[in-house]
Amino acid sequence: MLYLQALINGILMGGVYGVMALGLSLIFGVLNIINLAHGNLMVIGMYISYLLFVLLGVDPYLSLFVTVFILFFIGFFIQRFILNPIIGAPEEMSVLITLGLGMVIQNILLMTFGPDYFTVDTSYKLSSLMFMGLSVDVAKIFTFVASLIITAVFFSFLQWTELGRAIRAASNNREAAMLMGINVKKIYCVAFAIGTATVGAAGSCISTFIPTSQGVGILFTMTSFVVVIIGGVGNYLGALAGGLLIGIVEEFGAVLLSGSMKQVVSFGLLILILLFRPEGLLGRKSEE
Amino acid sequence: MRDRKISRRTFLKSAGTVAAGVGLTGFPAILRGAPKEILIGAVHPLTGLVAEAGQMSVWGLELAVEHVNKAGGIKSMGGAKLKLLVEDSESKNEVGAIAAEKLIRKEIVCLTGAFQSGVTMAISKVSDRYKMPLVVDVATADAITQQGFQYTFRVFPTISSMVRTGIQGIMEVTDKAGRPIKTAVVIHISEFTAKASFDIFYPMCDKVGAPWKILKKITYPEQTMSVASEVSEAKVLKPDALFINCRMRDAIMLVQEMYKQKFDVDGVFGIVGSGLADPSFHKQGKLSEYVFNACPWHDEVKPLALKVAKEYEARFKKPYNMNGSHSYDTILVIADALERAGTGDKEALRKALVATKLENKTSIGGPIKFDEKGDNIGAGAALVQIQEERSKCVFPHEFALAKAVYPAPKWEKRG
Repeated sequence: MLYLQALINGILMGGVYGVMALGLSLIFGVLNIINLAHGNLMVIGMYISYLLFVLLGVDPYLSLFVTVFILFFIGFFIQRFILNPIIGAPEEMSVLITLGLGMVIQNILLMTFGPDYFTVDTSYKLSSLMFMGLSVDVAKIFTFVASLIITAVFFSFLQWTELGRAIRAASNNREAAMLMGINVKKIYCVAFAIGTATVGAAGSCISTFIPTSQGVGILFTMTSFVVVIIGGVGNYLGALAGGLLIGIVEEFGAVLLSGSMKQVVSFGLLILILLFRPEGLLGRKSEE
Repeated sequence: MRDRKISRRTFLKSAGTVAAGVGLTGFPAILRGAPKEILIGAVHPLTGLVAEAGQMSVWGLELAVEHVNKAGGIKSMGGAKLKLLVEDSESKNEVGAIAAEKLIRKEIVCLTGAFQSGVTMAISKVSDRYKMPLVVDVATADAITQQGFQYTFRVFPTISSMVRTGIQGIMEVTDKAGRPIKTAVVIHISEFTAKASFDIFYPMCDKVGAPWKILKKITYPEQTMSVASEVSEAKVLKPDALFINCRMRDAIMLVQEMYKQKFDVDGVFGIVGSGLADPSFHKQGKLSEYVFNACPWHDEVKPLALKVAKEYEARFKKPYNMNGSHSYDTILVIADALERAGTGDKEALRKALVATKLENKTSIGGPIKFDEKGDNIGAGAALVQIQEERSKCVFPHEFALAKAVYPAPKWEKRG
């Protein structure tokens, strides 16, 4: 009974982790940028949803569209002015720059909103479905569904549109793409912007049940990196798969082992994957 | 080369400069006039997961510095005014230690901080190395004052005193309601202070004769994204009560999960749960209502305490709680010691701190007096309960303002 509940908790949490990691997967996988500001960008999305809810009463699953829009432009701006100048430089540069960017974002949020925690208090925030003594969190179900929809939209975009093909080409081989007439710098901006837009959407989704303030970004970043590496870098299904695996493993870890072992289990899994299957569960050894 | 004649202008300029120079160096009292400032350093978490609590402590320090200065500063040092220098520990031990070094180099006379026991341990090692007096305003771990450091003092009560008062309070509240606790589950974060609290809690229960049996001890990492499984684990055991220790973020998630999973207990008791004192937790409405906490408290009876609380709340728009009040009192302690020492010299200040007996303060408990380890033997603790989104003291009686509600109404009855 307890294990069944842990499984349910794990799958739902998996959806949450998956949606958090989607944007990172794109940015890391396609652009080879290690974006340490990932979590902080998500917190921006959460604050936007919070403000729209408090000021205008807009539900976060609707303000999601606003967050996507705003984070798209923020991402475009970041890539255009901060990250494009270091195309071709070693990947480690992106670590330093995005780390600094994350700190700037965190402190701007701290100055603007203060250190208080908030959640978006929708009517269904505390709803759960009960059957046979098991409880299923409604807000997390919505998030799970949202993560499936976002992944599907992503996948079709990248697979079947002209722009999507251009992005994949640019990530595959920058020089060849340029030779084919693709404006690589602009493509990078669009790709990064799509990545941050997804991150914004994730923020809106989780704002009802994860208490947030300026300091929480780092937690989201760490979790998302683990999910992306385990699930497979650059593979958006991998983000979902990785999220599900970690969600389930953590919830079972909490129940079977002592509570603090929860994170030991997920990081242990990370080490195993890096040792035996470094491309991740669904990653491919080379992008074809 | 012909001789240069000195013009009148040049003569006056140089004479003036020489006079000023002689005055500043030879007769400082005449020309310096106003007494210099006395610098006090503070290290607190202003960013990170507990930023709200750190800020509330710093406000307590700032308010006290203002009050001391308004009352004339340190009269035995010519009315010198106090000045507070604050550094952010970012909730990290290493950053706190560096912050302490930075402040010491700025020539402070005394250090205070640091809210988190881990950070406080780190800064105590730094301050002791420099023989800099450290008066810990907020930090609970017993270990801080057990390092044999002569220069470390602590105003905040130790975990042992808080746990003991908590257990006594819980037993009294439940006995009075005719429902002593038979079974309980412990849930806490796997962090230094929480672990230290429960390491003392378990044997203290036996010592004091507590009637309950602990069915399970559930821990989880502070950075967790969800406490769903932890709550599920506790729920299947059907305990009468929960004993918890959380930070605010996970405390909010905990009560939300309990509601979502329809997990009812007679009472939720925080054991030195700092996260339960934060205002954001109180604003959870029906979710955080009736939650108890065994913790230090501010005086809600004596006139000075009431006056300070009123000003604090009007200025900072947050309740005057255990953190603000102990930080406030710490400045009073330092100012009092400086007054008796008459100098900022570290050794003289240390001797003055050792002889402290401060009655007029804003936290509960007896007069502030340090034992040979540096602990405040007058430090008090209370059992408080959240009623109508405010924590109210329900035990001990001389500081109690409300009656405890036990057992707590079930979730479905709370609307």
